[in-house]
Amino acid sequence: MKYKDIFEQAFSDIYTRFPLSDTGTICENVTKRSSQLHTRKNICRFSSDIKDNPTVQKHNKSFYKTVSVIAVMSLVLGAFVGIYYFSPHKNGGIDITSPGYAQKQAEIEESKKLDEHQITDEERSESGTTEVGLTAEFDNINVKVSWYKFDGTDLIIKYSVTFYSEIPDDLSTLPRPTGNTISYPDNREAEQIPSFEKHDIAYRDGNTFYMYSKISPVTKPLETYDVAIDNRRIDGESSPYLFTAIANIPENKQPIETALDKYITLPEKAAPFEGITMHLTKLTLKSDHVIFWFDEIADNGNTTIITALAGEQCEQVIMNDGRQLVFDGGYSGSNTYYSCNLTESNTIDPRDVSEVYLFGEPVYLKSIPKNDASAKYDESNGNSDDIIYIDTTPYGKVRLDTLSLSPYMLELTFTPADNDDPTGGGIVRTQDLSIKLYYHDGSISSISDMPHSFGEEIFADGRRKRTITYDLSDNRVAPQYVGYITINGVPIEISEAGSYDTKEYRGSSAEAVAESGAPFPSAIDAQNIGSSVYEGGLVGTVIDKSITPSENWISLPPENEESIANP
Amino acid sequence: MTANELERYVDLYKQSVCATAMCIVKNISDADDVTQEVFLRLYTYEGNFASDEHVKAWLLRCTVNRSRDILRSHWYKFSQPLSAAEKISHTDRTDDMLPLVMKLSRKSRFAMYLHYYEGYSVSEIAAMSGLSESAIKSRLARGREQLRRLLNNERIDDDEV
Repeated sequence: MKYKDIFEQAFSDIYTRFPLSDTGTICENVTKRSSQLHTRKNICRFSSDIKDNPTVQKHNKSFYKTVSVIAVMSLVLGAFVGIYYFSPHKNGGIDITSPGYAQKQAEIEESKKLDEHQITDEERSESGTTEVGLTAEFDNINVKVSWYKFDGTDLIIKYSVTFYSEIPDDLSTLPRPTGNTISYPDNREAEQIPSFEKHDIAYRDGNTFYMYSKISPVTKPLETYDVAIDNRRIDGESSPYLFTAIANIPENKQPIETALDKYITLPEKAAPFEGITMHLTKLTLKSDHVIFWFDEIADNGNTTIITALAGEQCEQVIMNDGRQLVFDGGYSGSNTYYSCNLTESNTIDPRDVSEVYLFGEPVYLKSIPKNDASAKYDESNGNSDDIIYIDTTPYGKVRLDTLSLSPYMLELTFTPADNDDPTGGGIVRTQDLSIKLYYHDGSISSISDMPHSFGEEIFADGRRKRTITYDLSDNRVAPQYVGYITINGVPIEISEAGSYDTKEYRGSSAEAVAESGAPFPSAIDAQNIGSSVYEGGLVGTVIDKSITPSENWISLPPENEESIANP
Repeated sequence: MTANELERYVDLYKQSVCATAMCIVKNISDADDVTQEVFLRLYTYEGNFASDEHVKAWLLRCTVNRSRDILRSHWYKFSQPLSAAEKISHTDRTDDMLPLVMKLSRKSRFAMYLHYYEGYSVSEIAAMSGLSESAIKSRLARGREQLRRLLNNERIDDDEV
């Protein structure tokens, strides 16, 4: 057998002997694998025919989208990580996790122990301040005053303390402002320079402390305060005068000065200087004291004035609301002035002072503009020129005998209108009265509803005098501002009664009775009206001239006397 | 290449390709895989062929290379051979020469198949396999000797295979 025959016999029928793939299977698998191979090849090389292959396009779009999303997310995540690791933890821009922050906070807390007094934010406000910008240099410290705020009573200074070397452990030794000299508006000599009592560290910036210091309270208003810097607690030295703080006194504390030309003769209570006449030239009204200015009187020496006036309660200051001031804050003076001081809690607005008296002599009467159009009394309303009748229908007319108005009460007395029939005529009842006060400024107030009391006096002939008293203590009025009063529509212009706080009306018969010398029950001398009303009581009672003492009067002894007479 | 051309070439040369692969890989399944792989490369080949013989030569050369790739593959070296080769070596047919041929050495079997079955000359086999003509002649001579001894029922040493 030839070699060729052996191999032909061995391999000629392998496709029939063994399960090999036939032609169709081979072609199918080849074409299928070919397409797959083509796709993979394009994906890998991103060939130029990608646009023509939707499968590849879709696959690549998804691929690009996935890559883009991953890239963006990585950037965002990286940004957050960067912020977390490289930016400080926010607390007002301060890294609260840093050791320096904790140390700084501790220093600030410690600095707050400088003084227990805390200056309020309102006091720290820079409104109403005066810029300074002056510095005081020490060996290792620079003190710069930024501004001050001074209303004559409270002085607040803001300043900074900068250390050129190490900062002392005890911050309470920081330099502070101190007083050098002061001045009062009345040229008083200072017994003691008020010192700064409150010191507060506002904040700290490195070696610089920003501070406030305050004088509180200054009991007596100052005009100027010379400020120095006290550094004695650190290196034993103090700066000289640095600057002068000038008070910016608010309007309600600004003094009112009135030029006067009045001669006052000292009364007996000023003994042993009674009879001396002093020339009063000026009056100064301050928020806490009143100053009387005099010409220097050589004959009586420098101490005469204060010796004669102090402690005599010779001065009277009346406010617009009728309040009389009490001066118990002491007195001061020289040969040219006399100052009476209010207490610390009794400061006033000088603009509210209406009247000032010295030994009963008016030295200051505030002029009040009057409403002339409504202040006139129409005398024609009365049956006569001097008598005022009030119609109390249906009970007839009554006659107004007296009217007294003080800051605390209004007292009215009425008698029957018909003198010929003293038992007849009308009677008055409080519920039938309508009383209004008309002020100079045009305002009106009704007092008919005020608490009141009622009294009646019956004379021997049967006449009755009724007294109605309205209590105005809860709503005091200033009589000097009242133009007129109306009673049931009848206007009554009342005149000054010689007292600072009383106005009164007297029936026309009053003076006639007084002139007649007849007994005048309960009559009060007009000269004493002022002092009487000053006590807050009734100022005057006038009995009609027709009511004269006679045998018809029944003199009733006191009950105790009667009981003694007829046990 | 079109599908029709592929089908024609497959029909013409699948026998030669598969037998050649079988001579090298000595495994029916691997030979079938090599056959499909070779025709896949033909299908995707973008070059031009001068004639059908050129195509056959290209296929056999590609089959040799692909079969050698399998023999060199990691998977082939460490996997247990299937029993297909055993079946080839042991058939029920008394006149079956395939088992006898498979007992030849791989180098001689391949050279003798191309020379005696496919009709290629020594120089063509040398060009196809990348070996020298003397090496082909030597392998042919060795193969003939082995085959003669097998036909005389003489045992062939393993080192000869």
